[in-house]
Amino acid sequence: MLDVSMNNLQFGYDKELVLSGVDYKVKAGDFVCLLGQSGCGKSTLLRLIGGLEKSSPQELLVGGRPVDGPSLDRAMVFQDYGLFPWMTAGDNIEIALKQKYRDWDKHQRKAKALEWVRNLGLDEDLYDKYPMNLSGGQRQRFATARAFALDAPLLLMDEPFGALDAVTKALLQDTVLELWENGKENRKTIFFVTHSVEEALLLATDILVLGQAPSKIIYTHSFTEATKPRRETLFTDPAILDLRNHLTKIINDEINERASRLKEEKANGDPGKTSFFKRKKAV
Amino acid sequence: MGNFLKSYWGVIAIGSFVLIGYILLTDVFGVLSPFLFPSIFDVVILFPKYSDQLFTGLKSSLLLLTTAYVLAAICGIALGTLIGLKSGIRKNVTPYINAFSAIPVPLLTPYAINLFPSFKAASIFLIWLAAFWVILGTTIGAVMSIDKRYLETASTLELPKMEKLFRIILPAASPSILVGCSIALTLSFMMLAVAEMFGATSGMAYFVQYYSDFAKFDVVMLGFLFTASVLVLIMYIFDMIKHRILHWTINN
Repeated sequence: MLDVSMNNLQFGYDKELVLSGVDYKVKAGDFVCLLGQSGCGKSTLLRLIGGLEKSSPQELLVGGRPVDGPSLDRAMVFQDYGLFPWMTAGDNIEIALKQKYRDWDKHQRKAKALEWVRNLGLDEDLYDKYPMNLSGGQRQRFATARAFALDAPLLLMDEPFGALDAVTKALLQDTVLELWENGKENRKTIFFVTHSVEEALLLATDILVLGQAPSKIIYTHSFTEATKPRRETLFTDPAILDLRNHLTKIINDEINERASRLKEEKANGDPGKTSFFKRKKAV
Repeated sequence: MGNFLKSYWGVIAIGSFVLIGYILLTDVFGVLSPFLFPSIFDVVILFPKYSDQLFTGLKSSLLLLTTAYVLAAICGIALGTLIGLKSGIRKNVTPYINAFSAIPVPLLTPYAINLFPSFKAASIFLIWLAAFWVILGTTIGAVMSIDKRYLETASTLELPKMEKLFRIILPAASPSILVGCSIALTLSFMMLAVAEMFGATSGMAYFVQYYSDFAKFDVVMLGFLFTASVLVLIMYIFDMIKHRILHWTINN
C-alpha cells in the first residue's frame, strides 16, 4: 500500500510540454483509472510514477518519498505484455521473484510463481512454454501474474487489456478486480491507463480524466464501496449510465476542441507546440 | 534417413544436378578442358593417396581458424556490447572504428609478417582482424537497437548489472550478433586462404596452392572438394548452434 501525491506535476519531452500542473492525491489502496484522448500524457504519468521518466523531486511523491528510478515496489504491466521472449513464461515470473526474494531457492520461487499462475486462471502446463507459443490473453495473464507475484504495493498498468478480445478482456478485468479486492486492508494501489470509459467505470475507485497536452486533470470522480459499479449494473443503473455519458462527452469535447485547434494551427502555419521552457517561465 | 531425405531433398537435388552437369560436360561430351577440369571419378580415387596430407592440413587450418575466430567473437561481442551501451564511448571511438575497419585486411599481411614472431601468430592475427571488425560492428548495432521495452521491463525488475547483461541485453541482441558471427565465419575462411599462402607448410588452402603450382589440377580439384565439404560441415554446425540460441524467435 502506497499513497501517491502529484503536486503541480510538470513534465516534458525535449521542448514539448506533456503534463502541466497535475495536482492530485491518491490514497493507499485506491484503484485509479486514467482516461483521456491519445497523446494526453496518461502513459507518461504512469512512467513518471514507475520511475521510467524523471520528475522534479517534490512534484511527485510515492509513499511520501520522491521517485528515484524504477523499483520493485512499483510493478508495471505494459500493453505489449513485457515478457522476455527468450525465456519461458515461468522463467519470466521467476526472474522477477529472484530479485524480490533473494534468499529463496529455485523451488520456492517456482512454487510461488505457480501459485500466481493458478490465481490468474492459467493452466500449469503453460509454465514451460515460450511467449511466442501463447495467445495474447495468456501472455497478458503471465505478465499480470508476474506483477502480482512481486507483491508490490503499487501496481502500474498501461492499457494492459487494450489488445485483447472482448471475452478475454472481461475475464482479465474480473480477475484483476478480484485480486485487488481480496487484498482487503492491504489492497494494492493501482494506476490503470485505459481508453475505455466502461473499463474505468468497472474497475476504478477514482477516475481521473486528463485534458489535451500539455495536460492536467480536468475531471475526477470517486466511488465509495456502495456506489462502485459492478458488471451487472454497468449498463442498467441510470446513475452509472449518466456518468458514462458525461465522461464520454468530456473526452469527446476535448477531442473536438483539439481537432479544431489543429485545423486552425494548420491554416495559420503554426506548428502548435508549446515550448517547455516558455511554459516553465510562464508558470 | 527418411526424415533426412525429406528435409534436404532440395539440397540433394541441386547437388545431383551440378554433379550430373559436370559429368556431362567432362566425361560424356568433353566440352571442358580435361587438364583444368578432370573427370570427377579420377579426382575421387585420389582421396586415399592424399588423405594424410588433407587431414594434416585440416588440423592445421582448424587450429588457426578456431583460435582466431573464438578470440574475435569474444573481443567483438565484449567490446561491441560496451560500445553499444555507452554512448560516450561510442561517440569517441566510432570515427576510429570506421577508419580502421575500412582497411582491407589482406593489405596488412606484410605488417603482420613483420610484427609477429611467427607465421602462425601473423595468420591468427589476420583472420582475427577480419572476423573482429564484422562482429564488433554488428554487436554495436545490435545492442543499440535492442527494443526499449525489454530494457524498461528489466529496470522495473531491478535486475543487477551482470544479470541484465547476460539474461536481457545479450539474448535480446543475439539475433543480429549471430548474423554478424555468421558473416565473420565466412570471412575467416577467406582470410584463412590468404594467410596460408605465405610461410605455411600445411593447411587446406596451402594444399590447393601447392599443387596448383605444379599444375596438378586433379589434386587441386580434390583439395577444393575437401575444403568445400569441411566448410559445409562447419557452417552446418554453426547453424545448429544458431538455431539453438534463437529457438525463441518467430522464424525458427
